[in-house]
This record gives sequence, C-alpha cells and structure tokens, in this order.
Amino acid sequence: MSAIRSWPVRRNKRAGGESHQGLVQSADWKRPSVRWGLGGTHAALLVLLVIGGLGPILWLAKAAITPTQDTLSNPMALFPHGTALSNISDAWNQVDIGLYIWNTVVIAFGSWLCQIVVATTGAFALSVLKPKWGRVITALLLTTLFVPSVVLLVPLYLEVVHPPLINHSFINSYWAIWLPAGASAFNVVIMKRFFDNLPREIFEAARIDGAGPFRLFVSIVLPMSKPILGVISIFAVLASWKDFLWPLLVLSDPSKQPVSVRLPTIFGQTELGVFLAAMLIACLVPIVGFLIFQRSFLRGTGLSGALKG
Amino acid sequence: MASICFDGVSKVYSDGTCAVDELDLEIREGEFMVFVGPSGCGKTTALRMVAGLEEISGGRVVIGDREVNDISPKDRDIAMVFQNYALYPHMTVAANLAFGLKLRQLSKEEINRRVQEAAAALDLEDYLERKPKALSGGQRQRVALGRAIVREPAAFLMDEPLSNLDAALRVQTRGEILKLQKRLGTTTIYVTHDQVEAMTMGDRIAVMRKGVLQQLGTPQELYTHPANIFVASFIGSPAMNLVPAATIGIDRDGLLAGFRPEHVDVGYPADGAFGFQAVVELVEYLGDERLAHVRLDERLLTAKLPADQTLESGTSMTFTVPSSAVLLFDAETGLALDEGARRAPSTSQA
Amino acid sequence: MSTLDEMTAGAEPIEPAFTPQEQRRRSAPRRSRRSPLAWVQGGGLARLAFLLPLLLVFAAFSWYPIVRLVVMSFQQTNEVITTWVGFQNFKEVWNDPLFPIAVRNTLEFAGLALLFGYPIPLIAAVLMSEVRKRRGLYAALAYLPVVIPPVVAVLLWKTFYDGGATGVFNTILGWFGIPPQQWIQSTSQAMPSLVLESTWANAGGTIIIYLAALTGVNPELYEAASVDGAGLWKKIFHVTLPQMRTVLLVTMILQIIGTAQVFLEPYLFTSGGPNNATMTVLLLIYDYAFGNSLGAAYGEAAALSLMLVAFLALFSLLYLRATRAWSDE
Repeated sequence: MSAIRSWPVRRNKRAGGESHQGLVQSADWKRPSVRWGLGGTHAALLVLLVIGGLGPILWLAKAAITPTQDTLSNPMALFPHGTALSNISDAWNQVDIGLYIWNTVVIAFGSWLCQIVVATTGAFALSVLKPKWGRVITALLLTTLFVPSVVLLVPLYLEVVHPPLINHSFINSYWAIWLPAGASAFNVVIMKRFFDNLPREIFEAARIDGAGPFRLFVSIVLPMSKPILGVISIFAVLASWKDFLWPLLVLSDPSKQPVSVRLPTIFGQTELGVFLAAMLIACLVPIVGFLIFQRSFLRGTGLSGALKG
Repeated sequence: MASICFDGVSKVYSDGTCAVDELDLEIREGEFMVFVGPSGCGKTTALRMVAGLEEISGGRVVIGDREVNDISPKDRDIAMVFQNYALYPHMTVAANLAFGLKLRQLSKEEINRRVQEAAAALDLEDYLERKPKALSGGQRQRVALGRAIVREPAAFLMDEPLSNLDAALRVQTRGEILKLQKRLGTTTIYVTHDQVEAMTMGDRIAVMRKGVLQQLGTPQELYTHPANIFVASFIGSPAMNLVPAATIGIDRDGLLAGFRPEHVDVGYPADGAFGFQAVVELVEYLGDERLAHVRLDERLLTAKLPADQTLESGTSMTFTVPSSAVLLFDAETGLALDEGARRAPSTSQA
Repeated sequence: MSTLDEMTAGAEPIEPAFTPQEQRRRSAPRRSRRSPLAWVQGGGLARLAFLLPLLLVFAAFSWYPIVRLVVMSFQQTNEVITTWVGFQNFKEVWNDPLFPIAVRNTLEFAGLALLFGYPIPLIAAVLMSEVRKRRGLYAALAYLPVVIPPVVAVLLWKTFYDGGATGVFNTILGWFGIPPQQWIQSTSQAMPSLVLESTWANAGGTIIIYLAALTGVNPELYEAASVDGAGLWKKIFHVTLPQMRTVLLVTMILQIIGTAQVFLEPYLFTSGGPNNATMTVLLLIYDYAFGNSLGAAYGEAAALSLMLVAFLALFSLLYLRATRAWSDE
C-alpha cells in the first residue's frame, strides 16, 4: 500500500505542447477550484480503485500465506502469528492445483487452436474466395451471433452424450470443449471484416505470381493478419480460462477438470488457508498474462487512444 | 517476347453494362502500346482481361500463338505492375521480387541472379532487405517494376504505374521505364489516362472511350490525323480548337473545323488560309510563347503565338489559320472527313 | 454549338472511324464449359476445402443444436422413448411455481445490476478521461477484476460474505460500529450481495469501453462549448453524452441481455437459495435438465430456454425501435 504516490495535480501544458482539451480545458486546470476539486476527486477515485480493484486480490495473497485459524478469527489482521507458507505447498501437493492448471492450459490451447482454424479458413473462404453460397452462410453466421450461447447448453449436452452418427459418448473428452469453442460466429465475423479490408491488388499480384489459394492463405493472408490474430487469441484464451458451466457439465472425471470446475467442488472439503492458496495460484496466470500483455488487452477492447497519458 | 492480339474482345457485366465492346487490335512483338482514355473507358478492363484477372465475355485474347481465354494468370507468361504497387507488406524487397520465382520453382542461383540484376537495373541494391513500409513512393514503384522484370515474361502489363507519384518524379520515371523497355525489348501494354504520357511513351496508342476503340495509331498519326472529334480534342495540350466550319469561312453545311493552337497566327488570311475575328480575353505569358484565349461566338479558342506578339485584352483581332492545318469533321457523327475533302474549293493545293 | 460540346465531352456515342464493325451490344456473354474439371480448375475445390472446418463445426455445434432445441421443446424424452407433446412443456414451465419466482429474481438481478453497474462505470470513466497522468494505471486497476476467473472471484467473495462476526466484510463493518450482516444467507440481502460482486467483477470492462468512446469525442466540440460559455455539467450533458449515444445504448442492451442469463453467481453463492431468493431463469433451466431435484426434464429445460430467447429477442427489437429515435442523428 505504500506504493501509492501522491499525484501532483498541478498540470501545466505537457512537455511537447500537446494540451488535452476535453471536458476540462488546460485553462480550467489553472483555476484553484478546479484543480483541487477535480484533482481531489481523481485522488479519491484512485484510492477507491486501489482498494476495490487491487484490495480483494491483495487480501487473497495475504490470506494464502496466513494460517487458517488467523484468517478465520481475524481476517483483516496482518500475520498476527506469522506466515504459513505451507498453505502453498499443500495447495500444490494435496489439492494438486498444478494438475488442474495444466488441464486448464490444455483446454485453453485446444480451444484456441480450434477457434483460429475455423475463423481463419472460414473467413478466408468467405472474404477472398467468395463461394457461391457465401452470402447465405454469412447471414446464418450473423443470426447465430444473436443467439445467447448458454441457451444451447441442453441440446449440446445431449449431442455430446449421444452424438447423432457416432456410437460413442464424448463425455470426459476434451474434444467436447474444443470443437464447440470453434463455433464462434463473432470470431469469424471480425476476421472476415479484417480480410475484407485487405487490398485486393495484393491478391491479384499474388495470383499473377502464381499463388494458388493455399499459397495465398499461408504466405500472404496469414502473415498480414497478425494484429487480428492477436486480438482473437487473447480473447479466446481468456474466455477459455474463465469458462465454467460447460466444462462442469461435460467433464465429470475430476482428473480432467480445469481449475474453474475443480475449485467449487473442493470448497467445502479443504482447509480455508490451503483453498485460498490454491485460488491465488489459479489467478496468477491470468494476472501475469494481463500485466505482460496489458497494451494488447486494452487495445483489443477498444482503448487505443485512451492509454496516452 | 510475344505479340498480343485482341479479337473481338468484349466485357459485359451481369447487370448489362458493357465495359469493353468488341475490341480488335494487335500489338506487335516488342512494341510499347499505350491504352489511353478518360476513366471508365475500358482501358484497364482490357488490360486485366489480358492478365486473366477479368473473365472475357466475348471474343478471344491471343498471346503469341496461344489463345489464353481459359488459361489462369500464372500460366499466361505475363507480369503486371499495379497502380498501387501491391507489394507484399510483410516481405522484404528481395522476398517480394523472389516470390513469383520461388513459386515457379526456379533454382536458388537463378532466383538470386535475377533478383540482383533487377535490383541493379532499378537502383534497389541498397534496399533489398527493407520492407515496403520503409520505402518512399518512388522506391516502391521500382520494386513493383522489379517484380515484373525478374519474371522475364512475354509481356509487361502496366496499370497507370505513375499516377501515384508526384509530377517531377513522374517525368523522370517514365523516361526510365521507356529505356528499360527498349533495353529488354518486352512487349508492353501501358494504361494511362494522361495523354502526355501516352504521346511521349507509346510506339502506338489506342484511344478508348466508353469501351470502344476510337483510334489506333502512332502518336504522330493521332496528332495530325485524328479519326474523330473525341481523339482530336483528347490528344494535344492545349486542346484543339473546334468550331462550326462556317465560322472560319468554309462554305459547307454540317461540318466542324478543327485546328491546333500552334497553327493560329495574327493577321489577315492570305490566299489558301482561313480567318476569323475574335476578342482577346486572356493572355498567358509562358516565356517562350504566349497563350491567347480568344472568344469567338461564345466559344473560347486558344492560340499559341510568339512571345513578342502584342495582344491587348479586350480588343478584337483577326486571326488566320492555313488551310493545310484545318481538319474537317462531320458535325453529326463526329468523324473526320477524308484527306481530299479537307481543302476548301478555292485554295491551291499544298 | 451545344452538339459540339456534347460530342467532345461524351454524352453521345460517336461511331469510331477505324474499327470496321458496327457498334452493337452483345447480350449473351460467352459461356465456358461447366464440367467438373472446370469446377476444380475454377477453384471450387479450394473453396470447399477452406469452408469445410467452418461448415462442419457450425453445423454440428451451432446450427444443429439450435434446431434441436426448438424440436426438443415440443418433446418429452427419457432417453429411450421420445414423444411429441405439443405445447405441454411450455404449459408445465408456465405453471411451475418456481417459474414466476425465477423470472422475478432475474428481473431483480438485471434491474439492480443496471442501477449500479451502468452509471458507476460511466462516472468513473468520465473522471478517468480527465486524468492527465498515468491514466493507464487507473485503467489497469479497473480492469484487474475482469481478468480474475469468475469462479475465483465468486468463491473469494463467498468467503468475504461469511455471515459470522469474523467474516471479512462483517469485520470491516465492525470498524464502523455496524452489526454483522447475514449477506448471502439472508433472503433480503442475498440478491443485492450477488449484484455487488457481479458489478465488481464486470465494471472494469464497461469502464474501458466507455473510456474509449470518451476519448473519441472530438475535442473541438468541447472547445466550442467552452466558448459558448458552457460549464462542466452542461458540457457533460450536451456534448459528452450525446456523442456517446451509440456506445451507451449498445452497452445497456448488452448488459441487460447478459444479466438476464446470470447463472454462475446464484449457482456458486447460494444454489438458488436461501429459499429460492436467488433462483434465476438460467438456474431453473439447469435444474430442469441437470439438477437433482427436478433432473432430466430436458423438454421443460428446452422450452424455458426457448422462452428466454424469444423474450430477449422481442425485448431487443422493442429496444432498438424505441431507441432509434435517440440514436439516429
């Protein structure tokens, strides 16, 4: 908590001369009422954000290494009887949190791959190759966008248990998670939009150079699509990490379950301290991932200009 | 090197619009042919049909001795230079040049040789490892040219390659393109909307308008013997003066007379010349000559006069044009009249 | 005179002198043979190959289930025998005493979530957009809860909501002299508690979206307003909000649709209790299909799913119509 600095609210024109003219103009900032009023509000907001945004996670980190007794009797105290790093090792060994994290990784990877394959090939076909039924397919995709996915749970579940043509249930198979993940109309639509905006002349030049559709896809279109692939990938991995209900339904074998399914199950059966340590470990990957890829994350959600400053 | 032949080639879109209407023309081996015309005239469509990027609705295109209607672009042995260069943005210049060659599975040595040669010819040797976004417009244009050169194709197809360059660069580059083509001797079709480019570069020029070929000929032929009013006013700058024949003293009905600004002189018409009176509206001094804009019967004509000619804006003056410089056109059809009919009955022969 | 201009400018077509044929429009373009070989050469095989993954995956996991859902809602099945029962499933759902409870609770959740989760991010975003330095820090802090897996967030808050005197929140309340609360164990406080956690976990995403829209507002509009003498509030109401119209409207409808499908919070926090105080429509669907008490009532589950979709679709349509006047210029 000592990391909070005091924010110098006095802000003249930034070095470089660019003055942000928004709701509050540069000139306004010079007035003391604005400076202290708005500046104070900003400070208050920051404090709220730290307490609200960071607070629960910091508490989790603290509680993860606090003996359960202390957490239960005096949750807001700071290590009254020392730390209990054993929580972490117990979470790793007893609860075997490592296995579940690994499962989550495998599931995320497979889902990501399926989504990328379906979205890139499908959008390439619809946008570049332009088949005859292209418009019909695109229309079907758009209507799928408006169907809330949770509503498909029941028929999808039955389909996984009794696949129409195959005489074998896919319960407890990761394919039951990977393949449906690929059916994301959103991915295909934004990928197609991106391909639509690629200059057609480059494709024509490639055709004249002798590139057939496969070559065009692999050597020209995919390398040019790095930005959109990044965006889709980040959201695919994040969505997979957060997924709960579908893996809950489809993976009954505990050894195959991802972290999100396992944790609620052991909630009542595990000592609180160990449980919290397990939760902390489970959060680490997304948090670290977020800190590293902060820029892309926030840009992907539409924040490109807002990060300046 | 191969000849290219358009045999009744048409392009009709599904909504009925006709972009190219039964084009018949033959391009000789090694020739630099220019397709020129206003936008929408079909020149680019015709080019793309040779390339294989547009389907041919009617007629045939023959490259060399092969009919290529159903042959895919990569097998037609042509190379294209696009207006917007169409360079592969994620590849270096060297990779851009080599891409088509790699796909044709040429040996590494051969690819290397060609790339190096093209880079040397186009002054790109220092830029081989750069990506397109690190190049200037002119450099990108040269890479686009290089991509066509390394293919050593039977024909070059160029779609307004200079239109994205600034004026000075354009003048310089068109000379370089011409030199290159002469050196390599490759048959070339060059599309442009700029008649100056057409006149300075083409061995022969095909003037097109609304999908129809207006005239095919050398720059000189087009300039001195335009086939119709459109060609007459499209070629040459400032544009040819076109007036009803009676206005300058030709005693025939239903004709238009055309004469170029440089053939207009100040003074009374001598024997064998025509004349007219016009009011001087605007005079532009160009250093080596003067450009006078004069008004005759609600029409603004142009006259190129010597720099020391005195002209006063607002005054009415007499101008004269030799009969040999006057071209006659049918007022209804716009077609040029025969050679023999050009002269007025009372003049002596030239 | 005019004919001359027309002719040179290009209104009338001129017959060219040098081409021998007459000018004639061909009506039928030449057809190339459409044999299978031509299809392959024309790239048909490639088109199919590239479309295949999309078609297979969507047919199997998107389009077929949708059709199946509709079909199932008119059937009763016990995994061996399936019978068509017309609208019986719908009637059963309608008459189920839990149904009105679930609907009411869902509306309560959505309503509360809208009340707290809609304006608060907006206010925060407006404040953040005026931050001069380190705006990225604010954004990152706000977005952090969104990155936490929902299961972790819910279970963490479940710990916070412990009803005993030594629960985390109760301890904090104790600092201010407020007696310990029941939180999720109280029928009256359960739903608001869920809304609180849900807002915490999701506000960050909304803040970011609002921030992006805010920074997209043309600064010249603010300058013009300043020159016209507008104060801070006037500027917010007359420049900021109108410019953000579309984003605001879209966010609202998306939020309503999203919260109407809330499942995780009631499931993990309270399992629909206490006393069905947090039973939502999605939870009811789950119970119909997979729950122990009702279980394997796939027909009813499908029927309720369909009813939910129909309602949301209808609502969206009405919403779009109602807001069209406000969102068009």
